[in-house]
Amino acid sequence: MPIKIVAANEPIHIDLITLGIYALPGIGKTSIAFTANRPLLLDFDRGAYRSKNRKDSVAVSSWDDVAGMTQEDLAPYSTIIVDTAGRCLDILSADIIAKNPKHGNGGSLSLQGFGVLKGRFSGWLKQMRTYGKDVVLLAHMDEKSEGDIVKERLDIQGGSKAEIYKSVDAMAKIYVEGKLRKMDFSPREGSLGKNPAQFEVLTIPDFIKEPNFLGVVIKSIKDSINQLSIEQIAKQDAAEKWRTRIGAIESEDGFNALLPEVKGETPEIRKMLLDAAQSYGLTFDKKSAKFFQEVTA
Amino acid sequence: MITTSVTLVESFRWWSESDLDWDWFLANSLSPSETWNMKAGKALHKALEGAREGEFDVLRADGFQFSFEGDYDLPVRLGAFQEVPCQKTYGDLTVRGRCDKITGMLVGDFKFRVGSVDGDKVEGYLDSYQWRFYLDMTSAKIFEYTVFEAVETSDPYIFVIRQIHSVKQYRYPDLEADCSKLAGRYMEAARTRPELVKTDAEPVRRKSVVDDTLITDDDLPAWAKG
Repeated sequence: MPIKIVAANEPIHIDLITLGIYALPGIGKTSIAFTANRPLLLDFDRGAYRSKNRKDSVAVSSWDDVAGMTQEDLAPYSTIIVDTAGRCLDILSADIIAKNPKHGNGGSLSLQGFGVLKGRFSGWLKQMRTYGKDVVLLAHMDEKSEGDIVKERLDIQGGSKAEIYKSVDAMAKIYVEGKLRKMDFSPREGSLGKNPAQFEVLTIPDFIKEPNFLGVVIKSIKDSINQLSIEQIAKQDAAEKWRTRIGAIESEDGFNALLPEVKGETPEIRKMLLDAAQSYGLTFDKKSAKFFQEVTA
Repeated sequence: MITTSVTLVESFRWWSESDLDWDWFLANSLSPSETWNMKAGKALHKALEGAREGEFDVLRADGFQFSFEGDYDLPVRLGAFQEVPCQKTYGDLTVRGRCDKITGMLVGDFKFRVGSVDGDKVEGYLDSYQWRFYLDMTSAKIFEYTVFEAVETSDPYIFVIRQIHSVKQYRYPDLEADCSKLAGRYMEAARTRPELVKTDAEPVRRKSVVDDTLITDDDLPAWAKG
């Protein structure tokens, strides 16, 4: 199918997000996830029983258990938790191979099979959004040494890991520091994160005191992303106003008159003035710090 | 004051986290030979720079042809501004770069990759300091990699774009500090490795934002760079 090219990003308002959380086993990812708004946990790992603040969960042994869930079944819930994303993709992969052995290769997915996995998993995420659900993808953490650095990664099979990284709107690592559990959305040396809300490192509270901790975090992320959209529109409007002003300049004096104002502007506005001046036939003289028209004898 | 590029600082960071020796870095990062796929990548950049809004089965530039035959989830966004130079000074080091696109709060880069874009590749993009420096050098808060996953054909000049991936990152509280820290490490290394001090490359011809003429920034004044 042809590629569609558009000029610029259209800012959009979002009501739903996909959040990724990863940590070493036993840190309490599931317990944290149960503090989301009206959660339903899809228990691919069969570990939900370990959670202290357990709420509704469904034990999943095959993809049919997931595919069979209707919008009506999910109506009482606002947040769908995938525990864990790695095991979810394993079960989906098994379903893909069972339905078409050509998509498998010695028990793993073939190249075509990975293509089908990508399509079906992203399709399922879209379906959850259509149903009005936030999605929380829990993942175990894998550690690997590269040179002197220990890199903390999601413990998910290679091809599908890319889909998780691309699909999450925000991503955080949970770790233990002393007696406290921390949640860090920022990318660090050796660990990954996505932090649209620009959180500092969060301390995970006592869930008796803050039973809706993750629900509040998710709301903050949505508010931040929507605030970015508002800022985006404002900045684009400002750039268009500059484009109109610069487009209306008809003389060397006009370009020079704008210089003091443009110098304090963003790189793209400065470039706009420079490009326009050059197209007008002007050269910038660094000594006088002005545009001038070169006169040839 | 020394000058370097975002590309070189990022290459230095990647190399410093690896087990590879300095000779490898000299040969592969400081003086790399341009591969065929790199030529194709440059051609795709040029094709995108010259593109307008619409639907296209094919884009062409410099003799290369890029055929779009996949199932793409999203459109490719060119950006309100393209090829925007920017720079920032960290102590005695000035880091320069050129953003492929800027739209409001979003800065973007186009990548061309022959072969699959798997989890390791995406992790590489997320680990990169390229996006960190571009956010730090502009007032943007969002960075987007648009990665064109290509397949070779029997004709070396023709590539099929199998998928287009979008990988986003965001400004975070320690972003400026992290960039300063890496700039400091680079500066320290440059004191004993003069090869890390970049000399300006050949002037780049790029499309004016005002009209379609191609202009250079040979005489780009400092205020226009950043």
